[in-house]
Amino acid sequence: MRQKNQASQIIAEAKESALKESEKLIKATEDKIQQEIKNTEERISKEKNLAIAELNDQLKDSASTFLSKITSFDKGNIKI
Amino acid sequence: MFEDPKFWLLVSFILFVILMIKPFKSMLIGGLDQKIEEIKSKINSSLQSFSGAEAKLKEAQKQTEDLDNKIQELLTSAKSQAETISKNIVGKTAQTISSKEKSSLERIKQIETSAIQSIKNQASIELNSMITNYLVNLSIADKNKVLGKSVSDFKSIN
Repeated sequence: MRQKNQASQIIAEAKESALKESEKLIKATEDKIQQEIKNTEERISKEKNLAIAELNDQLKDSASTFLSKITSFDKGNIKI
Repeated sequence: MFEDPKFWLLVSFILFVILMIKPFKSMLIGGLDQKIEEIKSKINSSLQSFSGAEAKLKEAQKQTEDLDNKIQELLTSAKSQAETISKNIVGKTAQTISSKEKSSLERIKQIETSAIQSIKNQASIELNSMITNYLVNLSIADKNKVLGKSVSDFKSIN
């Protein structure tokens, strides 16, 4: 009877220990993923702002080209 | 000598001793035989008891050995089960982590795609706004020029 209890205890302890380790690992992974997503969002936001700032000149140029075509005004005279 | 009572007393004693030797001897021998039989019986009984005890001891030793083996089997089985359970949990954990990592990569990709789409939309809005503002703010003369050109272009197409 005592040995049966001991055997059950071995199984229960192993299960509990494995579950605890598993929970720890999953929690650590979740935290890592959350941090990774947060970092990505921040990086994307910065890159997005930078891209929009860099795009502004190109947009002005595209708008000038387009307006020059539809108005026949000289592109250099179009001030946006 | 024959008249001496001591002589007759001695003779009587010797006769008594001679007469008593046989029954005493048989009594003594009979008692000894009985004693020997008793001792033999006791020895046999003791031997039987000893054999019985020895057999019981062997049986008990065998039972103990069997019990030890069963305990060992039980513990080995328990350890094996524990190992299997641990392995299963480790496997499931690895799957969960892999799944979470995969979904996080998809989420990151989604964020990037969404950001690119957002930049495209913003650029489109910005471009429209630039063109509209420029056209709205044209002088009347320039507006007429543009309108004239548009009509001319339209006619040339048709």
